Amino acid sequence: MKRRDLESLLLQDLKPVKPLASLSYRTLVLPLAAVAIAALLAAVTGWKGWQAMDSISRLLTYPLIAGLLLLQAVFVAREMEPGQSRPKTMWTFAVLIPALLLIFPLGLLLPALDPDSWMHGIKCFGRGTMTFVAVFAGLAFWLRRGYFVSSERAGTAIGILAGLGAFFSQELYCPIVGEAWHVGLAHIGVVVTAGMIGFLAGRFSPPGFWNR
Amino acid sequence: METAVRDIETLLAAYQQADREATSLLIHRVNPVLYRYFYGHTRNRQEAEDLVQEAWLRIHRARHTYRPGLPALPWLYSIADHTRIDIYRKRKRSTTHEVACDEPAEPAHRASAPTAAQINWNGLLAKLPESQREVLVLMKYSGLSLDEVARLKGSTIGAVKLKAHRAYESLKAMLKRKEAGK
Repeated sequence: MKRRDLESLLLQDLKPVKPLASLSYRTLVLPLAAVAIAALLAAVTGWKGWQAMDSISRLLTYPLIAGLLLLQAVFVAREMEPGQSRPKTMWTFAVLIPALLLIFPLGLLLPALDPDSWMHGIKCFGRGTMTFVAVFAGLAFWLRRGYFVSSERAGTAIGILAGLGAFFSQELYCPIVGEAWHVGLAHIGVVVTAGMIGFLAGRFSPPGFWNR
Repeated sequence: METAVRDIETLLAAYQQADREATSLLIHRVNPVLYRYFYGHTRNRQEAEDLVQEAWLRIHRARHTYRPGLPALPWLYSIADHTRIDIYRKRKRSTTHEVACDEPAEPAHRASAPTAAQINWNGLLAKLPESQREVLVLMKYSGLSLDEVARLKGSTIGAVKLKAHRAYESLKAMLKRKEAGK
């Protein structure tokens, strides 16, 4: 294609476009949307997790997950726009914190292994994964308004964000709040799985999928 | 003509509003910038021109993501950088399924060979590690500042400085070795 052909092609397709919303707006809207979808899904079965927790646990758990969501939202909001810097420390936070949270309960895992616990854990993990898919689908529609230069990075970042949304939802509806091994495997495990599924979705998605 | 003195940022904002004159001007203004960048990496005119075309198609699709008022070059280079990486990956994948055949003769209008000095620099640049070469290409071929390169690569100014310093040292050493060999 010659330069003149390229120019006429671009001019032919020229339509006014609305610039992307500001970075701070996107950073705030993303976790709010994730939390809203997650809370809505948790409301279907009742907020048993919320009821089972004492007020101190609530004060520790929900703001912690909300903080992680906000941190990940900063990353995703920056990814939507080419040329925004991506400090490596942000990646470290976004990936390491869920990983560290996973390591802690793994140490307490072995004494709690009985068949009933396993079955409940698998069910809870399955529901969490379904919630992740719903949050992911809900966010992906709006997120594709941006332009993700790297589809693998986009998939991973959005996957972790949606996974954290699912984690928030699980902490609302799952009545098992005091067992660290369960939270570690069945709840935080969803975040880690979400990141991996997101990466694979990014790697194998058709070209242009992440950009509307 | 008023548009002649407009900077890339203003032209990009006008491009978003479907201003045809500004779009043409933007293409003419940005093409050499992209070409220098791609040529710095590929050291092949045809490949660099193909990459410029591909990058433009992506810029067109992503034009709404430029926020008026922000520096345009990091935005442009980010798209250009990933265009290069994607095409490189695609070629790498396809070459594993292709049978090698003779290269077609270069068209006459492209046959103008680069000067001897350029060939030397290209050869030397090719020997540098990818991360050092990238910093040099962005700074010397594309004229980006340390701060802009750091923003683009998601790195710090200090790290970019260090890579550039190492690249200069490697180039110096290579030149010395070459001179000693003569």
